[in-house]
Amino acid sequence: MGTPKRQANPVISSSLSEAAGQIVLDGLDAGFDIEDIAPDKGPKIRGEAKFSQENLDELVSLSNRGTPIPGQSLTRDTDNPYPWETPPEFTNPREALDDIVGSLMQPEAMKNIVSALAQGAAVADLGTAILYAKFNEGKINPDVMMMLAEPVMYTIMAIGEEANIKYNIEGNDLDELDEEDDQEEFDNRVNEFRNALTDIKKGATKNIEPSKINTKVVPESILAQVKEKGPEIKSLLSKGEE
Amino acid sequence: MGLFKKLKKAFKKVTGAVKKVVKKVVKGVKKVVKKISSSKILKALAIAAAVVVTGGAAIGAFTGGTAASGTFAGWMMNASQAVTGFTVGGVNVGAVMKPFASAGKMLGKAAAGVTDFTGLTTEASRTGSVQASTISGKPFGIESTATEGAVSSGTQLTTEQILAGETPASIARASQMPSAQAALNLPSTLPPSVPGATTVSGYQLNIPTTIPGPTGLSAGAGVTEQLAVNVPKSLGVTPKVTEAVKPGFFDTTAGKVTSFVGRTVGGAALTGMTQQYIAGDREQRGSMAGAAYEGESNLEGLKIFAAQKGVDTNDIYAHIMYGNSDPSTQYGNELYRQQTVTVGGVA
Repeated sequence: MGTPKRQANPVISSSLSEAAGQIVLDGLDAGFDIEDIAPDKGPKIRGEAKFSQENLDELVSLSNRGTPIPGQSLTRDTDNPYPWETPPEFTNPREALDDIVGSLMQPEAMKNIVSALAQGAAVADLGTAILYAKFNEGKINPDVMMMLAEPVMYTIMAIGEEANIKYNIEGNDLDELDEEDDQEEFDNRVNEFRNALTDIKKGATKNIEPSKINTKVVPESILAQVKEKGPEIKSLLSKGEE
Repeated sequence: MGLFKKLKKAFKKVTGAVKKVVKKVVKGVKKVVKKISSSKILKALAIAAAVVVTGGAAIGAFTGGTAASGTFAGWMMNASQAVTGFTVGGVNVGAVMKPFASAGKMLGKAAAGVTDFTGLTTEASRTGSVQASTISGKPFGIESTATEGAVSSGTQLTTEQILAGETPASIARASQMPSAQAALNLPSTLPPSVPGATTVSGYQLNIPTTIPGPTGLSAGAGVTEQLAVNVPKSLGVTPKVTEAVKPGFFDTTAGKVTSFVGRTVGGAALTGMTQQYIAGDREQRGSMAGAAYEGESNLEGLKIFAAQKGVDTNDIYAHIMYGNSDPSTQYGNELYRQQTVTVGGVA
């Protein structure tokens, strides 16, 4: 285990991803090993999404239920508004984040998240569902909902990592990063090969000069025959007579 | 297009952008730290981000306690020391840069809850009970069959068990208490004497030897309230308070605010303001650590920070920041709302 040589540098960023990236780099620079930061827990559970006709049918039936009539929302009793039509409980994103992440960290919620991730649900979909539910409950407004997408997604990812699940981030992209790694490695190998080939080529042709070619390697009698029979000489690979 | 469709579309864009940023950062880190797989970097990012978002509570929760100082999470959290005292133009900006200040509210419930998930600690340890290794007796007629060793070392769940939605607590409960009543940990009979050391699920509950009188019993009162009335009655003890039931301190608005503040800023506030309010001392509001009023000057750091970042302080909520020295954790801190706390009209 690596021991830190210094204290952490202050990191502030408007993007959580960037802040996390800087902190990880800072940690590695300070002397931590990647295993200290992200310890290996053995083979991961593959959260692969499986096609289910039943689920698809359910989705189709839901989407076929029709949509509200234009202006329908204006016909509602104003004394009984929907929760999202009332002032939100949290206007400060920090407080909203505390509340949401606090509720995600509850055992029951975590079990559901772990189960969903293991069954192939994407982090983005889960995050959307959670935040959308909070909006529906009147806890947050749409602006805060958008602002909290990234931290909530990261929290879900951390839960997935803790449960040792290989999860989808968006859609079915389980192996996307690995595939990119493989592609990158393949490209690197091809580049290495090309470089090596170029080096060999350069090395081999470097000392060759046409004026220095020894023409006496081929006996003069054979050269004379070649000159004499020139056009008649057929290549070994030429088409034979029919 | 309706509101919800717009929201859905916008959210799709946001999540897509988040994924792009994640991948970009993974690639950025990979360029610096070579020979590490992207998934490993993603894991490191997720962990670091979780620490930032939850103020360390997530790691504490995952690992069953607070992050140790030698660990990466502990090292991150110690960043506060590096920035405290940081001044800009003579103003102590570091004073407001209290990283992970948002953790306070979550730490209690999060750490308690999630440790059940990892099985490293149990809820009992959070509630202040100690293991029953030295305590005998079986009050309430319930005897635990949980082995102390299994509990103390932490029941490690298998993947199948986690996916089945089981927790160490649920497994222990299922194996120990077959009846529905037992599963709820409810006593079937009242004890013949004042309970001392009580053992439930291998843990000793520190039940007080002096039983408080009924303070909030109402129709449909819970088990706790009923016990508070019935136990003294069965023991022949006269409750200290017998007059008409009054709402407790924590039922009042001020009490709720106080409780919220307590939960937000942690133990310091509880030992300070809350205890003094409960004790009836209205003159002293509590110690500076948690509950005292913060003056305008303490907000200057935030203003300077906002100015440096080109952020309008009136619109500061729209500029949420992240990091181990993030002053935006203070945007809505209860420390700045202390004047709202009133008890009996005394502000």
